Amino acid sequence: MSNGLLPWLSSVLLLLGALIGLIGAIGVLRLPDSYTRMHAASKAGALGTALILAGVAAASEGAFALAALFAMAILLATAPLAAHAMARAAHRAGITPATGPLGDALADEDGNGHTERNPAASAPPTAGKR
Amino acid sequence: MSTIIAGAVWVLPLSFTLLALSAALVLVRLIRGPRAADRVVAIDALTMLAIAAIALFALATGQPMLLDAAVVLALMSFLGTAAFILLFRRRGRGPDEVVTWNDRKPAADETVAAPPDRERMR
Repeated sequence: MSNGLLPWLSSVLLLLGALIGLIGAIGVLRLPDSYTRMHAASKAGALGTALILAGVAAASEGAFALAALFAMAILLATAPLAAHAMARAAHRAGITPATGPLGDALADEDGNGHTERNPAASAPPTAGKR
Repeated sequence: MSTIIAGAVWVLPLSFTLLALSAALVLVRLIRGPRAADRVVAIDALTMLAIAAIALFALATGQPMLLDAAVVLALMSFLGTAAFILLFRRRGRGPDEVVTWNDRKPAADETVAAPPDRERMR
């Protein structure tokens, strides 16, 4: 067991997960608007954490590995749900995305009216904030 | 109970360091985030980093019970995000006044009355 492939697989998974988590954190810090930050947090963050949990599962045996896989399953089931609901709720609350040439498809579909383009993509409106 | 990973002397500290760096970057966004949605996103990312850190700590100390905490934290992360989402809803004080939780300044030509489907969602 100690000379097999699993210890190396576990190390690679742990380091890869931590690296992807770091990339997601950089995205959360630097991307221009709320929706792209959601994208970085919910995709890269969930993938990094899932890879770390898979590495823990590969390094251990029995109930330990099963618990890690269970945590990974729960994370992969709930993180996209939370991100989707959060994006819909933010759009309903009137947070405009920094749209590209294709415009805001959800606003056109809902008819909610927030179809104005946001020209300052790197500077969200901060005039009236606390 | 055997937990074997290759190069544990440097893999585990390096992973912890990367996670701490990620948490610091997300904390900057949590403090600075201009809208409420940015802060909810940052809190979500922080709980995911905490799950990863708890799993790594369980591996480093060889205690499988810590993974139960990771499972519970994953569930609580989802519930917490859903609870924050409920705060995003528009709250109307009267028929002609709609107050959003994240005080968006409505545009000059924008009608502030909520459409009827939003009223039904409440």
